[in-house]
Amino acid sequence: MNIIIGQYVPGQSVIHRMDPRSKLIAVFAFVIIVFIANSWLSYAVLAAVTCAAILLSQVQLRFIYRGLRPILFVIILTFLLNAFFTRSGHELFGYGWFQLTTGGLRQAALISIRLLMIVISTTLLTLTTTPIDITDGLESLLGPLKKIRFPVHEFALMMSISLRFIPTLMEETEKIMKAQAARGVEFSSGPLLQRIKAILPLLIPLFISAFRRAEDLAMAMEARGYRGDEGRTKLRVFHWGLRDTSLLILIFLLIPVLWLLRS
Amino acid sequence: MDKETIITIDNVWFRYADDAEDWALQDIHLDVYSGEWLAITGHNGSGKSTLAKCLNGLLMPEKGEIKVRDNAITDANALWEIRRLVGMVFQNPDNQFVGTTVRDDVAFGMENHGIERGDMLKRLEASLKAVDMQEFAEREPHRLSGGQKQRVAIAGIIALEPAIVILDEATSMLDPRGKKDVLDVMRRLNEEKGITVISITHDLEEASSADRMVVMDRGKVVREGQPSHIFMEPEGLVELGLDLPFTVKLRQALKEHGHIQLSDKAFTQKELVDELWTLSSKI
Amino acid sequence: MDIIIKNLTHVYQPNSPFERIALQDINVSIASGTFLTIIGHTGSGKSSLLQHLNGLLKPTRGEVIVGNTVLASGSKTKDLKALRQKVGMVFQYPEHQLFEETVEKDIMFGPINFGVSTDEARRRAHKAVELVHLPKTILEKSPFDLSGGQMRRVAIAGILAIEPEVLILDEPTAGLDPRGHREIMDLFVHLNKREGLTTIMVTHNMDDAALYSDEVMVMDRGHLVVKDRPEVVFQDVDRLNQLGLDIPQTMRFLQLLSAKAEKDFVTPLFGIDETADYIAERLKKEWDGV
Repeated sequence: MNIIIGQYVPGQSVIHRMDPRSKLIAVFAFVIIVFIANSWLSYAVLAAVTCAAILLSQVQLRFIYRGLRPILFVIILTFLLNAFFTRSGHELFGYGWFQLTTGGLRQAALISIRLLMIVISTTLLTLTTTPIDITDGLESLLGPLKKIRFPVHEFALMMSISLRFIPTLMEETEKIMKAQAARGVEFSSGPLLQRIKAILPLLIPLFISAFRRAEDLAMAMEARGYRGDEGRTKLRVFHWGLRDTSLLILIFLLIPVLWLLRS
Repeated sequence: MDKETIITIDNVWFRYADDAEDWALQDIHLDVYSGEWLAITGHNGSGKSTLAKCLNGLLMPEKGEIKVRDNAITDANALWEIRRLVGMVFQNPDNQFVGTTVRDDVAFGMENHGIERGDMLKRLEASLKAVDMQEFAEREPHRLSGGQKQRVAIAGIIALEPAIVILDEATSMLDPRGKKDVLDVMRRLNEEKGITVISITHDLEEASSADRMVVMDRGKVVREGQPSHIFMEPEGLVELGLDLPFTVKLRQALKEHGHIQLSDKAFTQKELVDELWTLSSKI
Repeated sequence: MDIIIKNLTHVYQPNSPFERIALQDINVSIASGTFLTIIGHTGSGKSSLLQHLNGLLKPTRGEVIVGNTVLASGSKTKDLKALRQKVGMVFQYPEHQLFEETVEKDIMFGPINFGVSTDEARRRAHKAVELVHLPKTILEKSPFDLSGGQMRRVAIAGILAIEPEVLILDEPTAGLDPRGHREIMDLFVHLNKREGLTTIMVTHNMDDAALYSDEVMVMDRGHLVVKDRPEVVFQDVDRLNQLGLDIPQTMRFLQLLSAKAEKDFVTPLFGIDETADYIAERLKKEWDGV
């Protein structure tokens, strides 16, 4: 079986090799900074930054499109809602209460582009960073929260164990589905009610097995000396380089630039 | 050979619930010697896995004492040292693989024990090499066979430089090739590094190649000794839910069916062949 | 019920970078009532072949004919269901598929799915429990309160209650202790000989393959290597070695003896008593002859 978790596309680009922490901070900052922009010129600057990032990542456009696809509907809907319910500027088209104005069109375009850039930047992060690196990066960045007893390490461990077990549980699901199909269950045909009923013979064994695995895993982890975060060392380390610092400087320079370009 | 005791089990009683009528372990006395390969066998539910889980404090006996190199498992301060000294490979290869890749998994134990990263990398490489898995370092677990996953588990253990490795039915879910690879690796570690091996198994062929063997039934140790001695008196073993090794069965059949005058000495196939051949050349 | 497999080829994920040929041009016929064992390495195509026999996989090319049901690449779901009723499949670790509150309900689950009335399904559940040598009192228990060996029997009973004419077993003894192993194998031999169930088993255990089957089929990398009586299949020790497969332990002993005697004693014998008789006879001949 071939399972690809997340969207990660292996590569050797500058962006791939960056420290996941700098990428996380940059994307997080970018998503907020996008809201400063309100003029065409400021949007042009943001679009240029986004395009540069895509180019640097050397990720093929179809992968970005694939990341966009699920959210495309939302973007189009946002566009339409804004276009028809914002009334300012000249009326371009009108039919009863239904009006399309220049102001509405402008508003709709800007909001959609804003949304598009947010989605592209986060997609770019998941395309160039493995899920486990994102998890580790988050653990490291959220580290200070440990002081207020926020279980950062536990969350990260939970994430990484989930990532580890997704393929195992998928295989298991397939196996149980086959075993129940051999007992006459039809998962993919028949009336809806029957199909919903067919889920139980799949879910119950799957839950039982997941619990058994969890129990086994807990015991194995204990046997291997796991006792929480305290005194733990790490195999995975991050390499913060010049490129990471440069990325952050660049992103934060966007703030004054966009501020000046505001209309 | 000088026998140095590495684990002492003294008058150990265990049950899974405080009010359970059945004891999973009753009055166990057993010493484990440094460097030996000890097989613990018995049918499913005989208590062999329960005993194994007491040895590194995963389960705590209700009565009695277990010591690993003079550390009592009840001593909370010594428990982590005990778990480093006593590594354990479990039955299901999938359910003990913690890391998202082989490297991460082997490192998991070392990270827990706070081993400094530079040292960790050296040990990581050495232990993967010791189990012939160095080419698989970046592999994800779902792209490994059961036998390979068990070898990764062994690598994770030996990276902690343990004195004892417990195989808790570690080969029972593997195909013949996976099983052979795992046992070969363990034999090598046993011989070259002197790691003590405690193998919980119901595979009699495997048990019969051990240095010493313990048979358990209903929570008790019912036989203990060299496999060749235990199988010299096969009576009762089948009733205990066990089988006899092939050589023992064939030796009996040769005596009873073929009317060949054989001694009870031959235990391995080679010994039996030799004895048959000596007989024939004498006549 | 006869089974005929014609030019069966199966390709996983065709036309994708992950394309993999699991079975290549398999032709085989299995006569009704046969106990057939399939041996081969992990990845040899054994499991894929089994899954075609009850329509869990559809052929990419070729066809599988079970009785009067034909399974081909374009077969409809309705045909698949008919096939699954005739061909019962016991997966590896079948106890993992149990889910009902009571053993009785779990065993009745299969028959009811195939359109049998509740009363009839209950009658079958009682009969199936007897067939797998479990006490009737177990019917009211939760399947999850049973021992591992009992759970496996319940799962097998759940397949038997569908009253298939062909029984497919994927490593049915995996993880059992020697006693459980012996009992389960005895059960399948009984079902085959007394109830006349055509039985197709996949195993890694060469002794089981040699001792219990009428025919042994060897697979390697998606190809059928040979299918014949165990005496014939295990006679060809060299070929099995080339495929990395083992021979029964009786024959391994004869190999050792041959090496010592520098004479060929190897012959396809699988029972311990027969082997002992044979060794005694051969050795006595040697002793007399010298």
